[in-house]
Amino acid sequence: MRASAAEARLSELKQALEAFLAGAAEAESVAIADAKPLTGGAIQENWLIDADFRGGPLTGRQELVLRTDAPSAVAVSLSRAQEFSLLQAARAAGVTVPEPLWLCDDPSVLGRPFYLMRRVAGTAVGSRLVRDGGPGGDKAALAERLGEELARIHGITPPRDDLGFLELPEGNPARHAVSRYRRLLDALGEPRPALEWGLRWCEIAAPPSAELTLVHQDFRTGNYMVDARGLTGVLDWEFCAWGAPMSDVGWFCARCWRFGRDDREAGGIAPREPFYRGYEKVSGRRIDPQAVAYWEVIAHIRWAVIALQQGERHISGEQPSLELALTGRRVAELEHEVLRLTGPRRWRAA
Amino acid sequence: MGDRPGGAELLRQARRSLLDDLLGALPEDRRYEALMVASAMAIVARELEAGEQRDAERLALEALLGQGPGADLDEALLSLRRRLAEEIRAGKRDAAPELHALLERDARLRLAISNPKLLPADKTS
Repeated sequence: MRASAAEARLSELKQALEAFLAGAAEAESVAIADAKPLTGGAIQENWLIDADFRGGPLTGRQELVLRTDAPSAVAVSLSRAQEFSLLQAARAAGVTVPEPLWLCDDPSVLGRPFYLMRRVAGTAVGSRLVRDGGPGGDKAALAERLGEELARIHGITPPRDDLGFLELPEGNPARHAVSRYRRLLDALGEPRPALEWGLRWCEIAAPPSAELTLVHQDFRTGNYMVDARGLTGVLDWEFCAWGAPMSDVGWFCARCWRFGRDDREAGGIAPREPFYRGYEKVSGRRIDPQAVAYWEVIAHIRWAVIALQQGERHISGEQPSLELALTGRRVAELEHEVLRLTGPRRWRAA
Repeated sequence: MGDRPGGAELLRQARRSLLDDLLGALPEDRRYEALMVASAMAIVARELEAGEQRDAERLALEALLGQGPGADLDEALLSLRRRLAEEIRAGKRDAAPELHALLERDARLRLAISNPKLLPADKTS
């Protein structure tokens, strides 16, 4: 129902968008042939746009994605303008991303800022990807390729004028994460002893500070597109920050992102080896298994905090939704995993 | 005693109707929603059947903290959890095996309700 209301709104705004596209692409005129909302994405609203350009360098039918804030946007992620800058920086660094085309910061066009990118083919659905014979081609090759892609992301380092909006951790990135999740738990207001146990372990076991790089912070199965042959695009850049590169490796490998394929530790698609090999080859950096194991604990804590926040959005009445409500109940499996990874014997080594 | 079938059995049958009879009649793009509904129904059915779980947790927490029961059950449970969370954060319970076992037991009970497929097959401790 929400989607069809949004659809009606967009058809009202169709003319404004066509005029914007014509101006941006130096076309005589643009006609939108089709506009469909894309489901998924609790924060952003994505639209598939087929547009016919007349005149200018893009003459012909173009398949685009328009990305804007959903009406119920929460202010935790980056703005669309910032995301657009990140896509440009990633593309320049050789990361496979949908090509960013035009940003519109002027709210008078659609009511909110938006940008357009070229559509990439394929699917990103995690549960399909991890299925035997699922899309994405040879999975060991895909994992190696993803390691290479992540290494290119980590090749972007501070300071950067174009990315000056990204958050820098205060002091040690691991300790910074611990205080952040404690603060978020306090804001939720409900005591979570299992997560506190994990956070205390993380406080003691924090690896020493190393170099800071761009970190994607949501680089995982479900957030990249594949077609029958392999990778077509790395998506979802709205949580980027400067941070510890091993945190992205841990997030990718964490059990909670294997979609039930626990035996394939690299994102449910392959063993770790090809993923690590691709990463080390391109980055010239060694994967530190102990640091990765540490960040996998943080990964489950982070996901648990997000699950609690999403559940709270339902409970508070802010956004009643079965999906958010069910996500809230996933906290049990995440706490269970945090405890499994931080048993009393693991504290001695810490 | 309520009448039979009880709430859990009603829900389970409702879920079977949804999955076995209704799901096939739904258009492809509504399947995901229906599966979420079925999943919520299964959680509630298991939760109804595990009604005594919270009492057990309260007793275990009281024994650990040496505190008697409060006037209100939920309140008592919440204040015990709050105290425990504070003590863990303050480093007063580091690496404590009995606490870890208690937290794991609690997480396992909740997991048995929310997603029992993820329960480890080998239940040590």
